[in-house]
Amino acid sequence: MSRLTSLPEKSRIDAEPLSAFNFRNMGGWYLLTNDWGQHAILESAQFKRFMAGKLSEEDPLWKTLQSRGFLRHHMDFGALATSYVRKNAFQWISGPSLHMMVVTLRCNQKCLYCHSSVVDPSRTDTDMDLATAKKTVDFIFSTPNPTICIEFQGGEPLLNWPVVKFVIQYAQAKAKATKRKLIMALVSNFTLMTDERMEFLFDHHVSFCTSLDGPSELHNKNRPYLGGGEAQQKVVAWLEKLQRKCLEDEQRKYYLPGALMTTTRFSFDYPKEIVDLYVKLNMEQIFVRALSPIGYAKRVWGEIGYGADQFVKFYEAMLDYVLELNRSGKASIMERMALICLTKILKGVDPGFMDLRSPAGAVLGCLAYNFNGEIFVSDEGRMVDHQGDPIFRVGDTAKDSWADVVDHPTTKALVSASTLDNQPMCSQCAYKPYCGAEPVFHYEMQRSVVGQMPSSPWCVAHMGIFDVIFRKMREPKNRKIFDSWLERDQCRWEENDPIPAGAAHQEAAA
Amino acid sequence: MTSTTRIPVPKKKSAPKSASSPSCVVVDLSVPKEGLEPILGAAYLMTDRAFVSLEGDRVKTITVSLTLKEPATAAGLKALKECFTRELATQKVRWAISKNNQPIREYIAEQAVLLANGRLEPAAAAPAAPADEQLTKDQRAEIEKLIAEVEDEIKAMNQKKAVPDPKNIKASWEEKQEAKLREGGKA
Repeated sequence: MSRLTSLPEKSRIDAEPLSAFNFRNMGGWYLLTNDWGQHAILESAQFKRFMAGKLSEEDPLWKTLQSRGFLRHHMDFGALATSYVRKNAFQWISGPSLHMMVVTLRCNQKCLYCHSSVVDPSRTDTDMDLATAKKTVDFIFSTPNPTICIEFQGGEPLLNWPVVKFVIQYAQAKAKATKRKLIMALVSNFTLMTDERMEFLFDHHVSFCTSLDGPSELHNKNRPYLGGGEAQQKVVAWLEKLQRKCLEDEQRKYYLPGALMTTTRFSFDYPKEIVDLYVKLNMEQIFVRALSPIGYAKRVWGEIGYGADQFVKFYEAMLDYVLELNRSGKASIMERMALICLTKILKGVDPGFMDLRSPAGAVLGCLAYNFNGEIFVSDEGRMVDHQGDPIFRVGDTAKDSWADVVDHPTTKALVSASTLDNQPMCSQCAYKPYCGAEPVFHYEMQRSVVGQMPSSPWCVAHMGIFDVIFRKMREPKNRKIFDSWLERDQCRWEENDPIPAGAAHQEAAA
Repeated sequence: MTSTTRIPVPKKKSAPKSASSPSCVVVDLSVPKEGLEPILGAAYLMTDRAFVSLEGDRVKTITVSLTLKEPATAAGLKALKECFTRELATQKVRWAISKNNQPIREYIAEQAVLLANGRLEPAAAAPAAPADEQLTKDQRAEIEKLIAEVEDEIKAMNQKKAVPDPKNIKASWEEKQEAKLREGGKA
């Protein structure tokens, strides 16, 4: 069987009454999905009946399949078009919402996998200067999206604090003048955080995000701290402090800090310990993320990397443990990747996650700005440039306009390559309504922005994650927990306008 | 569909590896009968496990050659051929459904575009405005003041000394690899 899964031998098929859909053999049952973001789960016998065109209107399944657009002669076009609009909300708003500003390449940590290709803290020549910062903010505000999210990245952005401070104030002035909604997030290792900086960030409505890979022995191995000492202890101390400050003040409750974990080969030994640490720190979510073999990580892949199938196993172990803690009432922590997928699957809306979009978030959803004003399709694209390949550079804030960037040949190529209907395998995959193909990843792994999905680790990992989530979702004990996660997340969306609080955190490659 | 399975049997023990290893499944397919898209689709899906080569006439007959990426065995080739055959049959169904529904999909997509444009018109029409012109005099003065302050801070920051590096973390990947090589270790 191919990875896409095939029909059973000697299947009787009558394609005439079937609407456009993709299917997946899940082993004993089938998953059906369609372009409009609807899905249905059928037992094998039901699937057989459906495919043979033997489903009568009296069949209990008929109403479900009809209302979800799987029966060609009984479709509600208006409802399906509405569902399509909701699912692809990002397509109807022009321009990127997420703007990642790399205010310095300097860093005081030297992470084993560091995407950001950092330089020594003494190299101030890789700091964004004021003139560039101003031009970058001007460029950001020349893009048409009514919501602007600026994410400070590095290197370690706190090493160029004066410019961070300037950008925050300047962007706020511009947002006020242009009547835009502005969201800002600092992605930092917290080692250079001070009370004064924290208060400034709170006062200017900047949210916080950091990297926390797990227990100190794991975190400190993955993320060595220049100058020695315990990087993990500093992260934990600041996370606790920021949480306390947020909970003390009603105005600050939306700025609860987020943390991202990056999975290296060493993480495989600590699945429970990592979750336990996040629970101990009262983190609302844990985001189990695979390491991308991009930039510096590609060179050390042999030492810290792993196969996509190994990651899926690790992901499932982590999710199982998170679910177990939820069931037993010991914790209510949510797993972010599952939440992103469930939002798409069960709510039929886009959660604003750039990696899983068709077309991908590159340029249309996000842009990355290097310290010198160069514009890249994404932060990963900038990392490729740092390794000497400028293919993903689409402009310069000193001389290019938004029109130049969106009209750049690279932008067009990436949009075309990452539109799943253009991908021979993705266009037939049951996970098409929820998934995405990341062109920078495929360029790095397969030397093609289009990629070759049958052998793509990206595809193996994401197909595996969707398999895990759909299988878990079928079990009522898990479904109850998933529904409660969606409800909690929905409350945050509603309280904090349509943008999920800290949405920018999901895009960070801290 | 006519097909043959070639099992790897070296002609001579001393034959070069390249001569004995082209063991592959070769399938001749009638394009009018199977359809071009299903043939291409099934062949593409095999690329995770096999090297795929297509030859022939895209209107008449296409020959699909599948060479396992792993060392070939008779059982492996048999399984590969079965997999391809099953996938071809499935591809025919997938493409039939897709073609039947193309006008419907296009119609719904068109409706969605119209719907979205109507609903999101105010947002879509948001001006791509260079905001400098819209800043007030006070805001402009405030920004000038900010810039002056930040310039002073940067100056002060740059005068600070570099951070010590007792663990030699600052050394680049290349430097570490070179050091390993010098020590006779594996790079």
